[in-house]
Amino acid sequence: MSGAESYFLSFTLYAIPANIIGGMCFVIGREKLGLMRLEYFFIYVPWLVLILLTGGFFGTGAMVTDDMSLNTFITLVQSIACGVLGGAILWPRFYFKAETTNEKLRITALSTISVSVVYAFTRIILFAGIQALM
Amino acid sequence: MSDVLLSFLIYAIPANLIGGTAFLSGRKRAQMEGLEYFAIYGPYVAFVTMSAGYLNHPESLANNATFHTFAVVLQPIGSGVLGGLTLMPRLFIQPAERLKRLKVTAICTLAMMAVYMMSRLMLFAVLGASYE
Repeated sequence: MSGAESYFLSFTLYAIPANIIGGMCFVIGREKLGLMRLEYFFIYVPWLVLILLTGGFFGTGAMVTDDMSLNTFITLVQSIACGVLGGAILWPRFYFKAETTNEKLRITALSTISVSVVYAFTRIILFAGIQALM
Repeated sequence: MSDVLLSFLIYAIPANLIGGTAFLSGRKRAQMEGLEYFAIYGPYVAFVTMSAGYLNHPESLANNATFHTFAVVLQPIGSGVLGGLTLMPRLFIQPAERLKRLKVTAICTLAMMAVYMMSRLMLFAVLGASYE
């Protein structure tokens, strides 16, 4: 697995938990809360954080190096865990009342930023450690 | 303050912000019972198990302030966010029987613990190896 192939695999694995959790929120929220279609795309933001982190630590050419177990760990396992957090992004919209488009987007944007920050700061030493291993 | 107590307090903040909200609204909407509240502490058990397994000398953590802060302050926050999400699927899946409701909560707790453990396994291994 190298280059574009591992990005594709990582995105596919990210999309599974993100769409199970976030897609369920979206489908239910369409009727109950008036979720806009634009807000669906916010669930993919933590994947961009994963790509930025791997790009920063391992270079942008391929996600990881030839080491099979580290490659599997980052491409497969980290993408799944990232997708679980990504699916949670639409979740606060169920609790905070929002009437106008502006308010809806503000809540989604704030929860997107918080989830991305939580993902980034809990994984940063993990990636630094793996970089030191190689 | 001991590390376990500190990490539990920090864990409880995001877990109760997210999971507590889910629990309170689930009491009315999804017939949640008091027992299910404790499911939000499942990932903390995973966190303590992994810390004990890989960082089994808690005093050695205190020698390195960066790793100490990372393992005791930051990791419980990330774990608490997953813990708060444990009750989320219960709001969408609402079986009529009590046993089936408990089963949904139990499966969610196990899934969240598994997600937490598999994604942090190598992190703790790296942290543990850096103390030797």
